[in-house]
Amino acid sequence: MRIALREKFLIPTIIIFLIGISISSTISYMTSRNALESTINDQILQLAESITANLSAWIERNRLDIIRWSRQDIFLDAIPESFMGKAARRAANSILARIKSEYGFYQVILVADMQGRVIAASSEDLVGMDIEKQPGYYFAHNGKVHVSEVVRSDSSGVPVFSISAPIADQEKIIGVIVAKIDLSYFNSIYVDPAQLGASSYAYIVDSRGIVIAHPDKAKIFALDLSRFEYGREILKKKNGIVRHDRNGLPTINAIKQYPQLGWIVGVNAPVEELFLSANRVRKLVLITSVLIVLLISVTVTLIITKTVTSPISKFVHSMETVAKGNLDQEIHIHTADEFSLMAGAFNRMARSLRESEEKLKNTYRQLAQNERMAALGELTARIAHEIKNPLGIIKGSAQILVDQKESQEIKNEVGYFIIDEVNDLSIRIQELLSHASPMPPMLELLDINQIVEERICFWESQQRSLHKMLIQRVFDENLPLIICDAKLMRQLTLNLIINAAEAMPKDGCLTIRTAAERDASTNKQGVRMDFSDTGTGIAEDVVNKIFDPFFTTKEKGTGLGLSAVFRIMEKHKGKVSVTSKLAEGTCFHIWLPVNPDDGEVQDA
Amino acid sequence: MAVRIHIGVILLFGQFLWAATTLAQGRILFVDSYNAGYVWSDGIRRGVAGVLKGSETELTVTMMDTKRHRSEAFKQAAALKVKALIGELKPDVVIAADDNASKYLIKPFFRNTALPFVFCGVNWDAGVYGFPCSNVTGMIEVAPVPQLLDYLKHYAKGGRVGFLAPDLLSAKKESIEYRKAFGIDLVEYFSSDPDDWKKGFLHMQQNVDMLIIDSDGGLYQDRAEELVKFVEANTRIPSGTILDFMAPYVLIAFAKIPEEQGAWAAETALRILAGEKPSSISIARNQDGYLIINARIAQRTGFNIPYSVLKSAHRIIE
Repeated sequence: MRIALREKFLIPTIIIFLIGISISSTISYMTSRNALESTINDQILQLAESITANLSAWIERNRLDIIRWSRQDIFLDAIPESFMGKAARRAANSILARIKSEYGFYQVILVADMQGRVIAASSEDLVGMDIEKQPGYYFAHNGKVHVSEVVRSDSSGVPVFSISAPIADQEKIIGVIVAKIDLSYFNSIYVDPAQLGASSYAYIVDSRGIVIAHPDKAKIFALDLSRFEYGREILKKKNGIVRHDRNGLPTINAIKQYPQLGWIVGVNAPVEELFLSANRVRKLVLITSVLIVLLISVTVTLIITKTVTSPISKFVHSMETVAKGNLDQEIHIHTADEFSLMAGAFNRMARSLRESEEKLKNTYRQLAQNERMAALGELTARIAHEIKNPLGIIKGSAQILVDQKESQEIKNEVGYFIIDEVNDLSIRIQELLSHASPMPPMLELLDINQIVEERICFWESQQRSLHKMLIQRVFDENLPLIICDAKLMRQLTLNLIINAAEAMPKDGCLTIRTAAERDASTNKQGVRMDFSDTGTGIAEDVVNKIFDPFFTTKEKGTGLGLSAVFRIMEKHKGKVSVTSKLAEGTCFHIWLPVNPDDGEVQDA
Repeated sequence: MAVRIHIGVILLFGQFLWAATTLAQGRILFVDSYNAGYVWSDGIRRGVAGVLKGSETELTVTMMDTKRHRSEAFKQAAALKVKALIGELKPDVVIAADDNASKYLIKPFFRNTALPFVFCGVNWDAGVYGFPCSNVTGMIEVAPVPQLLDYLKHYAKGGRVGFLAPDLLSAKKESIEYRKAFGIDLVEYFSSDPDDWKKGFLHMQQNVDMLIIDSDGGLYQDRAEELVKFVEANTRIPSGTILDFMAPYVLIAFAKIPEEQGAWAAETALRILAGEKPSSISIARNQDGYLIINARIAQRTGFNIPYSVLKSAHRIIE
């Protein structure tokens, strides 16, 4: 498979970049994920701590409020059974009702005397109620500010706790103020909305593990974490991170204890959800990496194309141009790298080739000139040779004819000599003329059998006295007419007869066969002629040269007869071949198409 | 600011002269129309002393004692003695407390002179003494009747106001001043004796919505306990007084505060010492009061006095 140089550069580059960016992206992702995990842990822990801090601040503020209220004159004045006390109670009822209304999270606020009898309350119907048995009252009655455990409200069912404080006049405890606080108020503001994701939530459990705050209200007081292993771990650990599976999914619990009450604030979040952003980052990193690789690859490709491939393409193109013979091709590269040097070298090489070619052409022209001169010399020598002897014979015969002393019988004999030699000369000259200036074929529809027969008759009439060769005819009577040049066909036939006659100087038999035959390779309809003699045969080492001009193995002959046969076959788009065996004979196989200009298959 | 105060008591012309000397930039003479031990006068002096305590002034106090000596001749003589003292001490500012000092000292001897005077405790209208004038300004003393009525009307069913007092000229004059100063349409009852006073009290319960009880003038002191029980037993409408000693007879007493008068006079004296002219300082009127709630009457009548009122009260009678 051919791989372009550009791809050879590009593929490893992309692979290297892919590997490099994959490694760096993986390291970057892992580092980011670790950092993100740490951050998320901190964040979720901070959320738990924030809720705890708010819870602490809220309870502390409420505690301080109640302590401050316990020291207010109105509640001090409300305790004694006096005119002022009664007025103060009325005012206290009003104030407590207003506080309850304004604050929103007080279920009830009570002021009780030392007998546990409510003397003022946020709801006047509570005045007169006995709260002596309530634990908050007990602690405040004994001088302590007390924050109770969370219990379910009898009236509303929501989680409530109470803060109680003593009311003291000059260090003497004269009464108690008790506020019952709705924890769900805090939950609605700080716990329920606290989320780090769609499935995360915050919750609060008391010191026993009972859930007292949860977005799912059904779990409040119903869920006891101490019954679960992870819950026990939360209660034991109190602060930090606890992991456990929720519905088969791993979750993180960030927990923070409110030590004053032992409550634990927790934030639970699915790990997958927390790392949603990390996964997005991973995708982003992946996409970015791919884009970077593509961008770099394109850039590298462009750079390689510009700096490497393009010059190489120029070299390839120039080399192909040079290979086709255009040595004027030059490469123009003006860079500061090896390509510029290579271009210079190439151009020098091209110039050198041009010079060499020029020299070669000169040399070739010189050689051709020499060869033409040699050929001309050879031709001249051959013509001289061919003409000299007949002319000598004719001259001698003519001298005999004019010699008065010679007998008429001899003169008659030598008269035939002159005729034979003139005929012979005529043939040779015709061969030379045909070779020197071939004429375009004059095509017409002819009967080959008729032409062959005519030429046999002509030869026999001309050569009867010289040759004893027998010509045997094996003609196909159904031979199709073919389109050919009659003159050339006559020359072809005569040349092959002469050739056979020269191959059989004493006697022999030439068998001429004609037959209709389709060409095996082109399936074209044509005519086959075989000229089979019983002569000396052709040596194997020269059989390939017999159609070359001027090649001859005979003392007598121009070496143009078979060459003419070959050229005639070319002009008729026919075929000629030879089979020969020394001392047995030679056979020339001729095949002529019915119509040399018809590319289509023609049926006989 | 370090202040050293030396107080001496000077007996001058058979009277007590209480001089207070301070290391100060100005000398102030305080002229009291009455005598030490008179509750009202003592209150004014406390107000003066309280303000000047932090100043660098020299305070001299002298008393005309005209409450215990009511003859015209005594009052005139007392004024002359103070005039002589002024000539001797050469004070920068004189504070004159209550009407007699203005009437017998400032009006005849010092109006439109160079010596600045600041009067206080002058009842209702200082114009009768020619004030203000170029060198005199001060604070008049009016009964805080509007403030008293503001308290009472919370428990009243209507706007009718009754006025109950012994049949004395001063009481009638007081009633007139109420009408004149505050535009109040009073239903008056001036009693001839304690029994008539009780009669008048019952009459008021039926015919007015609020009742102002004026001083008994000391005339009914011997039957005070009886009258108090009577009042407690028969009060049906909110009642009040502007006299603290009459608080046992009423639901609410909103009494004038003498310290307010003294404090204002002293502050004005300091302003004059600082360069202001008396003529540029307008005559003022008392605003504060001394609140006393009679819980006994409130409980019997069922009036729910607000806790905030009780907390602001100076005294609660239980």
